[in-house]
Amino acid sequence: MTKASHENQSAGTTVIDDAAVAAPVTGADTPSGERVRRGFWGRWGMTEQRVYVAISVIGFLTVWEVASQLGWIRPLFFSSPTAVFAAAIREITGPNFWNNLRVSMLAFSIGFSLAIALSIPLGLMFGWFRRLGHFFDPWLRFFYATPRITYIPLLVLWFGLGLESKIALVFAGPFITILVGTLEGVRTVPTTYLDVARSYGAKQFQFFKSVLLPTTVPFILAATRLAVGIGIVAIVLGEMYASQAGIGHMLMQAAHNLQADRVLFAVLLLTILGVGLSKILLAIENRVADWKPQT
Amino acid sequence: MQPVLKADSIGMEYVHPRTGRSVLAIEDFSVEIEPQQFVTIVGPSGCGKSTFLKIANGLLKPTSGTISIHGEDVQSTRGSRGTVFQDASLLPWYTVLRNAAYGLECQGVGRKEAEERALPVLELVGLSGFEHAHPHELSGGMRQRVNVARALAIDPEILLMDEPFASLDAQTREFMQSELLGIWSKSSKTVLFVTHQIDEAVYLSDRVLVMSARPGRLIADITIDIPRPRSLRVKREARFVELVGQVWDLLHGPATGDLESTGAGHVG
Repeated sequence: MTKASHENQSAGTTVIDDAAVAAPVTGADTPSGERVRRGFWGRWGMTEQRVYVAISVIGFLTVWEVASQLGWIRPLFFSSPTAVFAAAIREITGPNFWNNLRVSMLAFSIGFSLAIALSIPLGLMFGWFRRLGHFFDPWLRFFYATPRITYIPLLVLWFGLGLESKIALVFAGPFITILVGTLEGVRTVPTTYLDVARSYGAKQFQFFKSVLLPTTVPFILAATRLAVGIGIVAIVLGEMYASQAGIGHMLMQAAHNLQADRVLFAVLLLTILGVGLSKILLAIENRVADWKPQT
Repeated sequence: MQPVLKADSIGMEYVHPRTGRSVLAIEDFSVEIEPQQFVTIVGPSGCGKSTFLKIANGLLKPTSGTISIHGEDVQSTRGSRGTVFQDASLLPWYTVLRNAAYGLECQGVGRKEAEERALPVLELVGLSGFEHAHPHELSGGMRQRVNVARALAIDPEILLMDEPFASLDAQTREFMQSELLGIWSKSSKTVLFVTHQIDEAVYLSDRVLVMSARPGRLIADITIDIPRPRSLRVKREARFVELVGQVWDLLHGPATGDLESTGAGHVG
């Protein structure tokens, strides 16, 4: 038990270090308006919010570990933080992990890139040419509403168990999500801007560049951020049901072998992946929209 | 003298797409505006005055009649008129300078040259030092100055102004009115201004065109003989009050002790 809480303590310290690097103490309010704590915590750059986040995370991990060690919960089902950590080390140093990761990432990046490359131009077109939009509207609604998991049998039938069916599955959800987001973005362009551009004699391209793109890009980025999660779900689902490799495959294997720690490691890995990608997109969003009022 | 803007019996009829019922927004509206005149159209909400401005701008095609600027049909020409829109027509992602240059850019002038030409106009409207601010960082009055600058920058034959001060508070609004007169006298442009505020119309204009409620018809063309330059003090002079009253009577019928209305300054 003592050993476990020591490990948690050290994990907690790392969090504080990160926070200190991320937001050096300025002695004033942080950009979010959060008060910087003075005294001991302040020296670590801790805002009130960060202190509570740290307490929450460390507290939860401690309770989980203790409960597991004392036998309050069954380690077989619920594992424990240290067991998950150990499983992570085992997995990463094991023979299949990097191949699994590579297989998953390959399918994800190809499928997702294709989705982005096709959905944005189509979304702009459907939004801009109203009749074209009306024509495709029923199909967009249909595919937006269909649960993507139901495509799996068909996609396997068409593309087999290999990479292709996974790419197709990762493509489907993000494609329709980003397309619809882009389309909505175009449709929200205020008519005033259209009047302004027209009254000054703007050509189509000028209007596209100065009005359409700036109003639509935030919608596209927000939809893309949403699509990241959908794409990750798709890749895992695809690999769980029809694959011989990949993180989803590993997850399923672990579940079959009742390795809760390994399952949780996979969950953690996928979460970090999703959060990381969203953070990158959020950073791009903030960069693109740096003209916006700071809140 | 040849008029800058000539509208000949303009009519505008909207047909409701489903019911097929038609609404007559403007009926037989004719007007000529001389160079460097400041002309204001005043009328109740929904009388078609903004619609007329859109027609003059070429954004709408009238269902009957013709309208031309310096003898050229407005539908076939661009760039001869600069439009000052209501608030929130500036592009929020552009700086003040880029916004002021936007009209020029739309006309195909390169960005660099457009911004160079917009600079002195920003100075004229009193916005030197704010070139690199974004619209949301400005007050409503300052935003409308940018709007005016954008229209002036293209050096138009005529300025079309569609209730540009509607969203400003009363004090800023009065201040902007006198500022506009200053800018107008310096730039010596022809102006067609639309408002529903009678005192604004009388204060700014050489001529006030009074429009009736729908269908919008021209019911009076009043020459404002108050000498220029006009300070805001003019608004308390007898002649000013008299002219405002005259327009008010035209819009409401002669005063009969009707206390529902808020007074001379404002028409619902």
